[in-house]
Amino acid sequence: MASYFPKALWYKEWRHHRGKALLAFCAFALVPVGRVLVLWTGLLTTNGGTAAMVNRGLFWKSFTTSLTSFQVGRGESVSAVVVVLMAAILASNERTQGTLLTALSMPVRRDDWLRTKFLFGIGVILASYTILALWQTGVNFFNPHPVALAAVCNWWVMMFIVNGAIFSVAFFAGVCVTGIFWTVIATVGVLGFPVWLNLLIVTGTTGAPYFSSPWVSLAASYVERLSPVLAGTSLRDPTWVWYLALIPLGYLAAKGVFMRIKTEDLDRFLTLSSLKYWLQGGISVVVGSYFAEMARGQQEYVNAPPAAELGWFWGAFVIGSVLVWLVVYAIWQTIGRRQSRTAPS
Amino acid sequence: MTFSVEAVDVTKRFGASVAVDGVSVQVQEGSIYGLVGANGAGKTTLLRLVIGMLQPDGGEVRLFGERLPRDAAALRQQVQYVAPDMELFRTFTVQEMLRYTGLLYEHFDAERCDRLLDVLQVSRTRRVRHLSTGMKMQMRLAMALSTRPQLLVLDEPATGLDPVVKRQFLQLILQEAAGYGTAVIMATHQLEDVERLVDHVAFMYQGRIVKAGDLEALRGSICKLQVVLPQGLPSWLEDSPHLLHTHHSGQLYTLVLQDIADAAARLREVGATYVETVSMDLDEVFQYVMEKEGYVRNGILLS
Repeated sequence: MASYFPKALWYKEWRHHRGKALLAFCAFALVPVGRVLVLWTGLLTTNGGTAAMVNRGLFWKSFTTSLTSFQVGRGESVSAVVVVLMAAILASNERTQGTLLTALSMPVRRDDWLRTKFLFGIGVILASYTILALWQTGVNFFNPHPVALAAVCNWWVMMFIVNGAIFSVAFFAGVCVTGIFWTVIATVGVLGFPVWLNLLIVTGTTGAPYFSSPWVSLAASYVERLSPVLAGTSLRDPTWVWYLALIPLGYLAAKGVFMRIKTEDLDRFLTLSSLKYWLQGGISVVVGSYFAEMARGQQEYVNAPPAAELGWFWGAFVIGSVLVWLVVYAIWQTIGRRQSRTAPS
Repeated sequence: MTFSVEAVDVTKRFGASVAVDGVSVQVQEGSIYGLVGANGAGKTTLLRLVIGMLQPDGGEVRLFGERLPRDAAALRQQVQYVAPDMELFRTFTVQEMLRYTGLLYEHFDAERCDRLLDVLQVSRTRRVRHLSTGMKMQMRLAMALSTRPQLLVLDEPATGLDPVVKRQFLQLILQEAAGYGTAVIMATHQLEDVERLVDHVAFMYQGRIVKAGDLEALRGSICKLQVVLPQGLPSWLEDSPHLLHTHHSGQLYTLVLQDIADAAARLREVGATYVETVSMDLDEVFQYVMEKEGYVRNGILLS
């Protein structure tokens, strides 16, 4: 088991998840392959003539657009959902089913277990998009105005990097919480954080999102693009480096958490007790910002000056966040006391 | 002397509750150590501490003379843990489980495993989810013995086994300990299995070992006497920790005493007119030791 690629664990992952890997590939292939199938069936039914030419023209236009101006958050969003589910299943299932405990009673190192799962997921994404890039290249061969091979490569690399980054974030979330549902929720929270921060910056500096200054908007847009869901479409956009870095960073963060989890806490809702402070902080500022926006909207309604709007916004944000923090703290304390009362003696 | 297992003053807490409280255990190569206790006594936790699945909050565990590291995976090449509540991969077939085990353990003997599965009549083509609890235990034991472990840790190993298979199962464990010098720790409720197999036994209650030792010595240290005491129970015995149990009908007393040398002679000295030693099986010994700890009174569970 000293190998970096422990055969037993790879065998287990392959045996367990080969069907799911195939399903994931089918989901990734839904748009690129489905587009060709739609054209093909369209051509069969129109049986030549003008309609066929229109169909063909629309197809090649759609094909070219899909390779040159795609966005994970739009047309290919199904892939983002699939990688999040895949990460949730890989990181969480064995803990909830109890088979991880069995593995840990055998000569299985924790980091081997985690690394195998992570690499398996990343491998499925890489293999799927490699096959699909070959498919796109093959289809492009028949394109009357073929897309440059570099554009296909750009699509391939970006799809792998962005989906890999989303997978990595979801994998980290899946190690922090237990259960597929909570992993998905936590992933949405982490991926949505930069978007929320963008809105907070814009609204909190100008009084209204639609009157923000260009500099603030620019800065906020960079913050927003920290989330791979809003990734750009080209390798010319330097943010791809960040998405690429997110892949190992997500794994290292997951490993950092996983190695600290006590065996008896592997199937708890929050695997590390310190995570509850992050959850508490997250809930507080998000709900606080909701109060802040309500207060700002009220001031806007009565035509208050921008300074007053900002004052109300930040005042409500701070007070709202603190109040929610206290409420969540009280709930934790109550749950903690109840648990200690019901703990077996 | 190097022990296969040496746990010194080990403590484990789960939140506010103490599951294992300052327990010390030593298991020699080739010996079979029985852990007996009520449900929730801390047996399973202790076994999991021994193999490094759980980290102790206090004390130290040594396996084969080495202090258990935080990740004891390498040491577990020589250890097998078999428990009915350990989940197996439900979609795997028995054959796939064997392949997985074979890839995991350096010393896996596939031929031996095949022979054992044939003896135990476990079909290789069946999926794990279709196996009964007993069949799963048989498969786990066959796989465990095929890795030639130096330490075999068994938690309720007879769960779900019919009497014939159980006999085979226990025979295999005995062979393993005697033939290959495998150290065995076994937690069980089945005291007849303990009497048949083990050479050392420990009684656990509320996370502590309340009585432990060589099986014969333990039996010898506790005696049950029927005594006629015309003057009643002597004062030196009334609140003595040596008195595990007392019951009387008129002048006829039934006494269960521990750790008193020559008890019969001492009772005669204080006026006993009749003293008879009554033999006890381990079940009774366990019951009286537990009763002394406050667990059982007249067959009713108190905690």
